Amino acid sequence: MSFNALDALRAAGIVTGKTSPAAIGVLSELNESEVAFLSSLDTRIKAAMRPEVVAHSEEGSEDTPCLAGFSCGHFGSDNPVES
Amino acid sequence: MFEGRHRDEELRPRVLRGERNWWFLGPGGVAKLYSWHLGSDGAPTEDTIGWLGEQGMLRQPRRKNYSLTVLTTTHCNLGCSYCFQNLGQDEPGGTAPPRIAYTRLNSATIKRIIEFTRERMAAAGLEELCVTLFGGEPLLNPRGCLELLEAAAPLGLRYADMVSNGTLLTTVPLKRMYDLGLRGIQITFDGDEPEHDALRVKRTGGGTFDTIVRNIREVQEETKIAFSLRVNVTAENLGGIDRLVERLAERLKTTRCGIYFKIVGDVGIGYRNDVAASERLQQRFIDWNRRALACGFGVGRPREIVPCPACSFPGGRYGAVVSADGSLSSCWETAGKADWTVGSVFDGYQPEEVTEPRWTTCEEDFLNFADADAWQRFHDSVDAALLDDLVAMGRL
Repeated sequence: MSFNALDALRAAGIVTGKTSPAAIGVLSELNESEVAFLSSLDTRIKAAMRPEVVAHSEEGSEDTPCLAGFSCGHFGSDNPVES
Repeated sequence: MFEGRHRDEELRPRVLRGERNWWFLGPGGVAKLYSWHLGSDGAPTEDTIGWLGEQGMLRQPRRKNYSLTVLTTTHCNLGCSYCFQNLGQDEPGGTAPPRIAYTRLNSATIKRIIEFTRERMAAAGLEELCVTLFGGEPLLNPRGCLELLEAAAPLGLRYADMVSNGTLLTTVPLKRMYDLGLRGIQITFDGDEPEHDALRVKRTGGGTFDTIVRNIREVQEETKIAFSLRVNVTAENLGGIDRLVERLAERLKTTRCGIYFKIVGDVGIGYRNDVAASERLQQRFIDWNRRALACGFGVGRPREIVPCPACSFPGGRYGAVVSADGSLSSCWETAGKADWTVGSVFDGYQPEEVTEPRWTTCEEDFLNFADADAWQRFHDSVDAALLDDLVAMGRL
């Protein structure tokens, strides 16, 4: 069975529904070792690019009363006076 | 009435799609995620969850506050047609829709409320108390407000806030309330001045916009009390809300005001608000938030799904809503309505078989909308855009 670069890249999550036709054209021509290298590189980059914490919750913020909009938990929006 | 959607202790994370990345909102804070942090189901991968856990993003807080809401009176001097304390609609052009029965908080009931609260806090092992002064219009009973705050101090009062219509704000009693722990007041606007004055009317007739804004400004000059401005959005007033934000910014100290926008729904009294969760309305919300931020108002950071301490837990473990006569409700929305009483501060909560069908929660007003999922997506998109803006402005 012949090697299919696009199948391997899809399995690695590198080729997705958002990948452009031009990129797919290039990637489909990669050989097995190139795909292995690209997958390995992709894994290492993603491991390095971890989520970034942008804000910590304040101590006690969980206790804001959810009252008439003071802190509407319906959709997770609260309403502290902060600026 | 509908059954609430969450009744557990946990603060539930959300994942929202921003313009350039995804936002994780957890009990420990906010984190920026990228597509590779999410699985095919849109949820964070196992590795991502592990990392978020290491960073404290999933840490559930230890509850230490008891949340006490007290109606100091059930009477109100306004006759807003959508009010959840109305019992029906007034005649066309009327300004005095029928309301819940009149009761007024007195010294004997305050004494019992404090004893009840002390018992509840001890039972739950809670150390501090947060009080919300509610009504009716709480300032129709300023003595009750003051007496309640004084009596609450020995229970470890952390702070108090008030939901007021703003027409009766006067500096002298509010200074005293500030000294007793009052830190914030929520005031509602029903659109820009013309629309507000058509809807938020005195029961004796006449608009209230100018009075409210003047009162807020006066209190801002004389006290450090913060204001939370709620803007009710209806099909009739949404065209004027940009102007409202600017008008309020011209007259108020914006750095001491938070502002937010909410759709008004029908709570079963026949009030109609024909708005749909459209992309156009979604963009308006996003633009209103941006305008508010540009004017210097505080805009609340979107959060994870937070249970309400008063009504998310059966049996009122972390809070109570007490009407002026001492009756208990699960939620502010049913306070003062005899058919929805779940007990009293004199006799405690009724047995579970009585309270369970009456245990409404404050998320349920949104469930009255025909398409709750569409509104959830609507609010997720608005919140994601707000997070994009807050981070870009360095205000998160």
